[in-house]
Amino acid sequence: MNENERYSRQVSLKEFGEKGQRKLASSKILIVGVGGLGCPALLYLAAAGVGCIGIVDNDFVSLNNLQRQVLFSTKDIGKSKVLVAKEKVKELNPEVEITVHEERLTNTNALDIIREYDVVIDGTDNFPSKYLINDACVLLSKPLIYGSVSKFEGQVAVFNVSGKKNIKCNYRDLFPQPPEEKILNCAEEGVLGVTTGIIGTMQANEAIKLCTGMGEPLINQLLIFNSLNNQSYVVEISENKTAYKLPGDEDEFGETDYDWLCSPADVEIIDRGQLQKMINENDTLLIDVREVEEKPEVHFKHKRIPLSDFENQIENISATKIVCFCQTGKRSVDAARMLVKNFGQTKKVYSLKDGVLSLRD
Amino acid sequence: MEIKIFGRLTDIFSQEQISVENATDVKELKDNLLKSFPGLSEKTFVIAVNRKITHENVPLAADAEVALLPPFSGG
Repeated sequence: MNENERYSRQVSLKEFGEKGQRKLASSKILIVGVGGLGCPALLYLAAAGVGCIGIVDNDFVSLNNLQRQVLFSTKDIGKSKVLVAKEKVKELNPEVEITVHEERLTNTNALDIIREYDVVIDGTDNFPSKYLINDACVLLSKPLIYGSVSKFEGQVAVFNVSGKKNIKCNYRDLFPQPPEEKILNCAEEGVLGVTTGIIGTMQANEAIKLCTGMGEPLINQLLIFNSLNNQSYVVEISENKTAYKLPGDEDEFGETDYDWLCSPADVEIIDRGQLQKMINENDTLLIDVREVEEKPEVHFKHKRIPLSDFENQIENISATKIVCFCQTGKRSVDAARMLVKNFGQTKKVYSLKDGVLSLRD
Repeated sequence: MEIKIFGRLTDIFSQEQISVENATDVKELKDNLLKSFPGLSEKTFVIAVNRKITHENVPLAADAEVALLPPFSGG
């Protein structure tokens, strides 16, 4: 196989050329979250010949992922997303080195993982991860390509890269603190695969521009794209340093609890150790709020009340000490909030940090 | 002036664009909007004036283009 032939169509672009190809081949890009945004970003960056791509995710493929997470097939259901992704990408382009991080990015592993890469792509679907990735990238001075969607709209931005007048904005210059109200994610409000496909591909495009020095990346700018009317709206972001405080150093970052930061004060977040204690004490109702078909199964006594039906069944919950859990620890916070809203101080409500996936050894 | 509405904020306004009059600065505009659309008080959003995010109270020309931008978290 003539490997020069592989990239011939892009090398013949004079703006890109052999030089662009060499720069891509020597680039190391980290993609956090191999979901609706991460899948298209990974596919295009691997196809284009990025030298080294790291992928971070601790989730498994489910049937409802396949409509937008285009790397995965029906036969992959139940398998590790990062392991399947690596296999598929290797088939597509064996020249690309894929590093698998089969874990959730947390305040204890983020800096060590991100440090190894030149550019980070945020393909996550929740605020704790978005603030965590942002703060880590600021600390390490790593370019961050942010992306998010809400129904038919998507946002893309490039953070931590010096722009005009040497100004270098980050996500907190745009949104200093996580929102206090509940913001729906794709699982809850729905999304078309093409929308995450467009936004994830835009993130890949920004990554290629940053790595090769072509064009004008969205530095200190936020792009909002509406897939229903095809309108793009670009706004300039300016520094807003007095509105937020970032962790000052790596120790402070390690002590920042991003799940807590992004969750309401009335729900207590517990870890697997605390959960185990409650299981042993046998005085707590444990509720799995995942949908009925979701795996893996848990092997302790619990009730399953899917979040989609939680509101209808809430009045039947008579226990006064309750732990909600789900796959990754996000939906369980929503369920716990519904309990607090409904029962107030009459019940003690907890949510399991990082969900069922944190229970694996 | 024209106010462009993004993301789920359109649930409150029921449309993607509204016109308002008589707002001389961002603070006055915000107060007027909160009066007409009380649901806005529970939402997180930033304001762009003439396609620049502004966190401060800046004057608004009659032909200013304002955008209300909420954070997104889906992916």
